[in-house]
Amino acid sequence: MPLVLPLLLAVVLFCLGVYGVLSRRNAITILMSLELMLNAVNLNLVAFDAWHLDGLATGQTLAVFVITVAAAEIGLGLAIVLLLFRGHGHVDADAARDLVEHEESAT
Amino acid sequence: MNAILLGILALPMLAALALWALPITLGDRLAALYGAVVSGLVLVGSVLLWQRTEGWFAYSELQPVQQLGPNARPLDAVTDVPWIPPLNVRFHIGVDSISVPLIILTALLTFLCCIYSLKITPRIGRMRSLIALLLVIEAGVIGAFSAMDLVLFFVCFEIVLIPMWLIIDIWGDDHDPAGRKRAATTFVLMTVFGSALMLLGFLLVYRQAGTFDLVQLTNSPVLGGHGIPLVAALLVAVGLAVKVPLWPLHIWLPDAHAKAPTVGSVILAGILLKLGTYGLIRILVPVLPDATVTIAPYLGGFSTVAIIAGSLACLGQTDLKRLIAYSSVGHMGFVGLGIASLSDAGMKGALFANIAHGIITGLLFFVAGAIKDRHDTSDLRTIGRALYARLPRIGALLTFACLASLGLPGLAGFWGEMLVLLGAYDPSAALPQATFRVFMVVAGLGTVLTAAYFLRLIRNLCQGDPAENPASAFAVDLSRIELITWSPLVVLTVLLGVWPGLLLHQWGIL
Amino acid sequence: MIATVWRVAGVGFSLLLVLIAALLYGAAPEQASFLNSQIGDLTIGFAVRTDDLTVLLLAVVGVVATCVQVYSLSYLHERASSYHALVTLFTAAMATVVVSDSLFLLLIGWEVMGACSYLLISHYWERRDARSGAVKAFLMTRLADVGFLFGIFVLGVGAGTFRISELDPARISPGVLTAGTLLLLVGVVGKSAQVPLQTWLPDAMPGPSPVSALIHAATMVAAGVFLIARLYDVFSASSTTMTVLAIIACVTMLFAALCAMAAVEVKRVLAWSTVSQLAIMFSALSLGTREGRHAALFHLVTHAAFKGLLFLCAGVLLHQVGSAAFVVLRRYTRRGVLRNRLRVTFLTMTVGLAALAGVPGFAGFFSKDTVLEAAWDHAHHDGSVIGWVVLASVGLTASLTAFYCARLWLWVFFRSPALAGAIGAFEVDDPMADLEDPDTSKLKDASWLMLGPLVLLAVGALGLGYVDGLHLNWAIALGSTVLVLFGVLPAYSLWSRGADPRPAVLERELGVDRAYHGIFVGPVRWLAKLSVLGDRDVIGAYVRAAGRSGTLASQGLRLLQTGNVQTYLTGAVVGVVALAILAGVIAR
Repeated sequence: MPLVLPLLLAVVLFCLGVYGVLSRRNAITILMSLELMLNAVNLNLVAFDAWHLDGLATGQTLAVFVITVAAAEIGLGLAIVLLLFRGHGHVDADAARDLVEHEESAT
Repeated sequence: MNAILLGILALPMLAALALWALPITLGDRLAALYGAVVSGLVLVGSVLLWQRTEGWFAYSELQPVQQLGPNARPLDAVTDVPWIPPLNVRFHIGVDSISVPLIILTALLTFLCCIYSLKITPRIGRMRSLIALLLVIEAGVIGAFSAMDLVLFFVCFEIVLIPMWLIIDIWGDDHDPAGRKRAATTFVLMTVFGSALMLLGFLLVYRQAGTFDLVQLTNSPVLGGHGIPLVAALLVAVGLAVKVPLWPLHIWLPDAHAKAPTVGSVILAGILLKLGTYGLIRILVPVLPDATVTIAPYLGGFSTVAIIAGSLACLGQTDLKRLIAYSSVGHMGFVGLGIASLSDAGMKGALFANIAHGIITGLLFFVAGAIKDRHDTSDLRTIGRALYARLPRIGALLTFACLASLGLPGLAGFWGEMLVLLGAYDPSAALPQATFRVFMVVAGLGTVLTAAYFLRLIRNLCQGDPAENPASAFAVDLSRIELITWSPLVVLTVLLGVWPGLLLHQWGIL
Repeated sequence: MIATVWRVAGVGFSLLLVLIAALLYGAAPEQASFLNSQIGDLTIGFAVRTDDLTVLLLAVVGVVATCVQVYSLSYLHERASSYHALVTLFTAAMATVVVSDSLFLLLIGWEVMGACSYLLISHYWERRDARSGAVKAFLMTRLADVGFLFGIFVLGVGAGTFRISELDPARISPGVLTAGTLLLLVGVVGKSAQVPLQTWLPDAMPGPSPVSALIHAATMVAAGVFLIARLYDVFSASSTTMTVLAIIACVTMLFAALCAMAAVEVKRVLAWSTVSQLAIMFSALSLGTREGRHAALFHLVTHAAFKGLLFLCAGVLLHQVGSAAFVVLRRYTRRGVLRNRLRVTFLTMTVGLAALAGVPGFAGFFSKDTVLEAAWDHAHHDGSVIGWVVLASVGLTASLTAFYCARLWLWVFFRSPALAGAIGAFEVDDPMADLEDPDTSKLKDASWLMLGPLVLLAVGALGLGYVDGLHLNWAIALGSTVLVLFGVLPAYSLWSRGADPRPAVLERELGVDRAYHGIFVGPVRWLAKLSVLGDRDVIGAYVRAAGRSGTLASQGLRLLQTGNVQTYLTGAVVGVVALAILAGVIAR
C-alpha cells in the first residue's frame, strides 16, 4: 500500500478535527474533535513506522504513548467541562469568556 | 592597589545590603552616620588610588597605539578574572589618570551627601533606604568608571539606574506626586532606551573585534569609518548621549533634577551625567576611532546647539532647580564639543569640564536645595527677591556658585570651557576646521548667554528691595552642617581655578 | 569686626602695591613662570614679569586704590566688609593684569575685574538702576571678552606660546597677526567702553562713587590701554588693526564728548568724559610710534589722578548733598551755599576740572599736548593720514571737553549773573524749585578722611604734568590753549544767559542704548521663550507621544483577548499555516 493513502486519510481526519475544534460550540464536541486530531497523528505515526521499518518500531511506540496521553487528557478535559457545567450551567464554549480582558484592569 | 579598588567597589555594595538587613526602626541619624562612615572610607580609598603619574593608557591624537608608547602607561589596580566564559566576558577592572579623578569626585559627593543627610533629610524620611540606595549608586558608578570590559561597563551603568529612579520616585518633591512619578519614569525609560542602543553597539563591536575587553580594543581598535563600525559608533554615541544628555535627548533631565530631592539632584548632576561623557571618551573615541571622526562634526554640532538651546531655556525658566538643571545641558554641551574636537586640548578640556561641572553644579544644587527647603518651593516668584537681605550667606554662596558656573576665570569652571574652545579652534587634523571654528564662535556666544541667565537669576533672586520681600521668621541663614558640606566644594572650585595643572598635569600627554 | 579687618586689609594691600612699585623702581626687568601644564604643543600656565610699564601701572593702581580705600572708610558704612573685600579683590585683579606675562593669567585678572565691577556696581542692590547697570556692565564686557579669548587663541596658537614676552610679531604670519589683534581689540573696546560697546560705562554710575573712581582712574577701563601698551609690538605690526583702533578712538572721543555735553548729572558727565579721554589714549596708541605709546601712558597717569579726584569730589557731593544731579545741586548753589560750605571740595574739583579741560599749567594740558605732538610728528614727518585724523579729532575733542568742564563747573558752583532771582535752565526742570528752601544748615564739608585723598590727588593733577620733563612745542601749546578757549567761551556765555540747550538726540545719547535693546535683548528674550516652548511642545511632545503610543498599542492588543478560546485557536492555526507556507517558500 502506498504511503500516501494513510497520509491522506490522516490529513482528512486532522482537518475534520481542526474544523470541529474551531467551529463547534459544545465543549464535549470540541474534545471529541481534539481526539480526532490526535488519532490523525497516531495514524501518521503508524504509517511512517510501517514505511520506515527501523526495527525498533518507534512510531508504534509513540502512538501508544499518544493514546495514553490522550486518555489522560480527555479525563482532564472532561473534568474541566464538568466544572464549567457546574459553574455556568452550560457547556457552551462561546459563552464561557472568563479570560476576557476587562477595561478596569488596565494600569 | 587592586585590593583598594576592589574594596571601594565592594564596601558600599555590601554596606548597602547590610543596611537593608538592619531593622527598619533604625534611626535616620544613625543611618546617615553609617552612610557617612562607609562613604568616608570609600573616599579615603579613592584618594589612595591617586598617584603622581602621567598619561592615559592609550590615546594619542587618534593614532591607534599598537604598543604602549612612552607617554602611555599601563593600568593601575588591575583585576582581571573570567566572569562569563562562554560569552568571553571578563571581570576586568583598573584605573588610570582619567578615571581616578572621577572616582574621587564620586566618592566625595556621596560622602558629602551622607554628611548632609545627618541633619537635613527629605520630609518623607526612610533614611535607611535612601542611604542604602546612595551607596549602591556609588558602587555602580565607581564600577562603571573602572570597568575595562564593555559588558561590565554596561552592567554597572544599569545598576545605577534603578536606585536613582527610586530616589526620585520616593523622596522627590512631595508637593507633586504625579509629577515626580512622571519625571522618574521618563528618566528611567529614556536612559534604558539609550543603554539598549549602547548594548547593541557593543555587540556590533564584539562582532567586529571578537572581544569585549577595553584594553585590547583600545590597543587594536575597530578601524574603518563606514559600514558596521559607523553603525556601532552611532549606536554607542546615541546611547551615551541620552545620559550626557545631548540636545535633543535632554528632555528627561530638567524634570528629573527639579523633582529629585537635594541629594538626588547632587548625585544625578554631579556624577551620573559624567557616565555618558566618560563613556564617550573611554569607549567611543579609542575603540572606534575612524567612525568617531565621521560622526564627530555631528556630535560637535549637536553639542553646540545644546549650549545655545540650554542657555536660552535657562533664560526662560521660573523655577530655581529647573534652571540649574538646564544649565547642565549647556555645560555638558561644552564637554561634548570638546570630545568632538578630538584634539588634545579639547579632550583635556572635556575631562576638566567634567570634574569642574560635578563640583560646581553639586554646590549649586546644594544651595538651591537649601533655598528650596527654607521656602518650601523652588519657584522663583514665590520665593521672592532680595535674598541678600534675608539669607546673606546663602545668597553670597549662590552668587559665588553662579560666577563659578558661568566660567569666570580663576574659578574651576573656566579652564574646561577655555580648553574646549581652544580644542574647537584647533581640532584634530582629520576634522573640518572651518566647521569647528563656527562651533567655537557659537559656543563662545553661549558663554555670554550663560552669564546672562545666571545674572538674571542673581538679579531676580538675590537682589531686590528688601522692603517688598520681608524675611520669614523661620528662615535661618547658613547652618553649620551646610557650611561643613559645602566648604570642600568651594575650596575645590577655587583650587582648581587657580591651579588647573593639578588635573591637567595628571593627564599628561594624552 | 569683620568689616574692620577688611578695611585694614584693603588699605594695607593698596599700600603694599605702592611699596612694591617703589621697590621695583629701577630694577632690571625679570620674568618667572609657574604652574605650567602641557597641552599638546602649547604650554598653559602662569607667568609674571616686572618692567617699567609694570612699575608705572602698579604705582598708579596703588596710589589710586589707597586713596579710594581711605576715602571709603568715611564714605561708606553699610555692607562695608563685602565692599572693602571686593575693592581689594578688584585692585588685586588689576595688579594681576599688570604683572602677568601669561595671557591666561592676564585673562584671569581681566575677567575677575569684570566680576568685581559687577558686584560693586550692584552694591546698592535695592536700587533698580544699580541692578540693571551692573548686569549690563558685566554682559557687555563679557561679550567683548569672548573676542578677547579668541584673540588669545589665535595669537597663542599662531605663535606657539601664550607668554607675552615670547610673542614675536616677526614669527607670526600677517593674517594671523591681524586676526588675533583685531579680536584682542574687541576685548579692549568692551573693557574700555569704546564705541560700539560704550553704553555700559555711564549706566554703571549707580555704584558707590569711590568704586567709580577706581574703575575710571586706575583699574578696569585703564586695563584696555595697558594691554595695547603691553602688546605694542604685536599691535603696531598690524596696520589694519591700528587703523581700526584709530577710527574707533576718533569716533568714540567725539561721540562721548558730545554725550557729556548734554548730561545733567555730575557723575554721568564724568563717565562720558572718561570714555572720551580713554579714546584720546587709544588714538595716541593707534599712531604706532614710540612717542604715541609714551603719550598714551602719560595721559593715562595724569588722567588717573584727575579723574580719580573728580569722582571722589562727586562722591563728596553725593555724600553731603545727597545727589549729584545738576537740578538738586542748583538748589543749593542758587542760595550760594555750595561753594562756601564745601570749600575744599570746590577747590580740588576746580583743579580736577581744569586738568580735564586742559587748562595750561595743569597735568591734563601737558599730557594732551604730548598726544597732539605725537600725532603732529606722525602726520607731518611720516605723512600719515591717521596722524592727521587723530590730530584733528583730539583738537576738536579738546574744545568739547573744555566746554563740558566749564559748563559743569559754572552750573554746579556759581550763581549765574543773569539769574539774580530769575529762572535758569535747571530751575525750569526742577519740580521742587518753588517749594521751600532746602535745609542748608547741615551742609558742611566732609571729614578729613575723605578730603585727604582729594588733596593728594589734586596735588597729582597739578604736578604730574611736570614729572615728564618740560619740553613744550610752543605752537601746539598755543593752539590747544586757543581750542580750550573756544570751548570755554560758549559755555560761559550760555551760562551767563541762564540757558543750557541740550539737543534731544544728545540727551538720548544718540539712541544707541535703545537700538541695542531692540536688536539684542528683545530677540534673545523671544528666543528664550521659543526654546522653552520648543522643549515642552516639540521635543517633549515626541517623548510623550512615544509613551502614549506604547500605551495605545497595548490597549489595541488587549482587544484581541476576547476570552473565546476558539478565537485564540483560530489565530494559532492561521499562524501555523502561515509559518508552514513561509517555510515552504524559503525552502524553495
